[in-house]
Amino acid sequence: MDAILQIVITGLTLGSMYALGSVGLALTYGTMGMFNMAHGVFMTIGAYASYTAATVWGLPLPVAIAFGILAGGIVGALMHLLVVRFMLSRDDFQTTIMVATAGVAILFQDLILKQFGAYPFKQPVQIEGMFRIGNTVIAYQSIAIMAMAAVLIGAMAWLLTKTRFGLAIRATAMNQNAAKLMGVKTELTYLQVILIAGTLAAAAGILISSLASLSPGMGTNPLIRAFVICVVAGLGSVTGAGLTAIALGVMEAGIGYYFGARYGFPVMLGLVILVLIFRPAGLFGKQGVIRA
Amino acid sequence: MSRFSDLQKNLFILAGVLAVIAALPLFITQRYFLGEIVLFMIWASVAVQWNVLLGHAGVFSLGQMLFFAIGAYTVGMMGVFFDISPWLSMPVGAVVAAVASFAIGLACLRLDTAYVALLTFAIVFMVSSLISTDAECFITEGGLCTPLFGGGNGFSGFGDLGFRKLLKGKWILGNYFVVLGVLALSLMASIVVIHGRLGLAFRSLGDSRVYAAARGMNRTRFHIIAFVITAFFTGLTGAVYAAHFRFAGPSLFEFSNLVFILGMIVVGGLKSTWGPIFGAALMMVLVELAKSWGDIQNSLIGIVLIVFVLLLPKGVAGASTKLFGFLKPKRKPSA
Amino acid sequence: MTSLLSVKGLSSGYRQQKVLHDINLEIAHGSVTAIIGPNGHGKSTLLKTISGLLPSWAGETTFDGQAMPNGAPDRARSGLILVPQGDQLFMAMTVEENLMMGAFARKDTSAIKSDLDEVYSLFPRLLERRTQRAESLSGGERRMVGIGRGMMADGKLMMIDEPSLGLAPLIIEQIYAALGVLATGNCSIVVVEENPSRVANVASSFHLMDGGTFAWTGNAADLTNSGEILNTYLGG
Repeated sequence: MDAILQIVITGLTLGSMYALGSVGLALTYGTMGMFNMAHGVFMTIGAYASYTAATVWGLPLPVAIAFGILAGGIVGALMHLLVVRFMLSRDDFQTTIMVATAGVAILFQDLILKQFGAYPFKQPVQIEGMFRIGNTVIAYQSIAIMAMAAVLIGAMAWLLTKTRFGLAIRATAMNQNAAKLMGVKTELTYLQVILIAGTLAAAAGILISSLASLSPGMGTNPLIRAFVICVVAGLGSVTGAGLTAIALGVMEAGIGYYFGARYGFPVMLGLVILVLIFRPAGLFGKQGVIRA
Repeated sequence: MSRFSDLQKNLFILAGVLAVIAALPLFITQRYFLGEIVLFMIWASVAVQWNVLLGHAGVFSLGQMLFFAIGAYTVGMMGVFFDISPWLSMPVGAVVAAVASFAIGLACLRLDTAYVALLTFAIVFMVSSLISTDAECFITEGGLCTPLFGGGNGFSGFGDLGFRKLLKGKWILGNYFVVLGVLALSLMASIVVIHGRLGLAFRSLGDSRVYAAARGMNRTRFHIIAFVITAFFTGLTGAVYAAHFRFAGPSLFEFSNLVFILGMIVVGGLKSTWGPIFGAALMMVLVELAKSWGDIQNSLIGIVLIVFVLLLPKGVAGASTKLFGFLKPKRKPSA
Repeated sequence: MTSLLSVKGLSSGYRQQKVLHDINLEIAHGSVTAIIGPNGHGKSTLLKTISGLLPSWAGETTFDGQAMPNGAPDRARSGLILVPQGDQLFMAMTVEENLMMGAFARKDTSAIKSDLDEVYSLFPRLLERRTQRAESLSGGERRMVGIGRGMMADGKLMMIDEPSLGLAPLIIEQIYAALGVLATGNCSIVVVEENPSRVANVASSFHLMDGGTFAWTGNAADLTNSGEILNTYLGG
């Protein structure tokens, strides 16, 4: 029983970080058919920006977190304005944008490496302490992670489903030309989507670095998980990505507990491939929605 | 002009290119530069194979470094564990890479472009993290623990191609021509694929997937064929890499390697036949320069990728075709 | 009085392929104009270019006395509405959400409400289906949503691309009955059709498009007198 509770807590913590990392990716793909290879670097940027704000500038914790999140959004927006914007109307957008964003990813990774060095260090943005339920130890940090993920994802869900702004995004995702004909400024919508994705990724990066540590390559691991999560959910399904993230987080925690941490991801990936053999468009995806 | 087919013409060019590279050691004698050319030939071969997949077959695989590593690891493992010469293990490595690619192809290639990219990327990552976190000793020699797949350090110092004994100080020349042989095979295969019947099939699938399907062409089958062929030659190239450097390790999987080679293809020109070779040469020169400017090669690779995708999406080959088309307006530009 | 829409020397196309050559078109306030002609000769391309979905290569366009803004969103906001071919609905949204998307750029909440009622009274079927997703509708219902969505924009000019495309004859009659009602309103209408007989009773001026230019232009009386010309083009 204790083991199960421990797995569930660990899994939910992992899952909520994964969810935060993957909904942004799903949103960008769903709205503009763009697979952002730089999404992982947004996470790294968020983490390092928070670190800098807290340690170097000595700002209070909430401000440091806000600064990190904002930094991710700004870098995302810049990438859109300087690169993505000019490629949107190309026929082979889906593939060339992966190449371009891979370039952005390696550029920023190298810049961070040059600025902060390769040696990993501790993220100061965290809450110490823990409490117990029976024999299960629960860190306050885990609770904080789940709460922050829930708040941010909840805010995004509200934005997408209840506001005019979200309506524009959903309409653009469903049918870009029709949205234009309704007066939706799709160019602006794309910018906003990347901005949101950047902030969510940065938030995920801050949380992930608070459990592990800061390193220039820290974004790769969660990015690959986000890839897998989006693929299982069906590319572009935002709700699906959130749910899948939680499920895979719990599953990975279980596999890690019983077989060792290094098998968590491989077993997950094996299952994913199995899922895709039977549902090539993912669990929540529809073949029709995907752009060929 | 049309006495020769496209295939024949490109094979003639190939003979010329190979003759030039073969003649280079007559003029270049420093071991450092010969080593750089060896490395160039290795990356050019990988880039050419990847371009066949990416540019011609339309398979957006990000898993090429896995097949490269399989070839390298086969040579490394057979060398370290059984003391088998690379001459024997190199073809084995290529075959193992082809078999692995067949299995991965069956699992992934039915899916849409983006899914293929993500899954192949994830599989490579999984394999590399499994290998580098492995700490269980498979053999222990002189207090040195070697896991089955080499762990975080990989394999090194295993038997070479035998030229050190044979040619003494000029051993690198022996390696040079072996690598050139592999490059020749790899290039020949790519030309036969691109300008032969398979290439025709890829073009028709690329033009209209629906129409090709209506004519009974199975897209997945052609994709798997391309995937396996390119994996074979990528694996062979990886094997000769291991034989030359006497090293195979998880650093081969690094993201920067992948982007470096992607850069060669993009700079040279996706969908061209010869572009990636130019691209490989250009990127190698660029990285050499970047090293002397203060170790900024990854930043530079990133910037080059972005700039080329934005401004010259067809790469150097596309730009030169445009130029040729401009000079000879009657000739239809062919990619 | 100046025209609502005035197009001079317009040409456009796709990539290197020029489709429209030097088109001139005047649309009067409160008029119904039909553009007829065989398939594949640029009728839809013309509407897409005017709406801003396709960039124009040459020519001048003024709308409501002003130079036309660039890009489809701003043109839609200025009251130039396209009901596109094949409906282009938001498939995962409900009927009512689709209709409300038509009013996306509007702020006049009470007028939107009364326009919605107007759409429902013109297409009572949509009222029954208002909470259903667009993807579950029949072809005729989808067409109604497409036209209704265009009405919700409260535009000055509504361009409707092949309202009869792919529908059964009985449904086509219903759609055209609705267009007849629309034609009595304030909004000018441009309707594209392959078959002139369908629009003969609705429209007041006619343009025959062939090979990317207008081969013939006239009013309703000219149309009946020029039966033979039309037959040569349309293979009547």
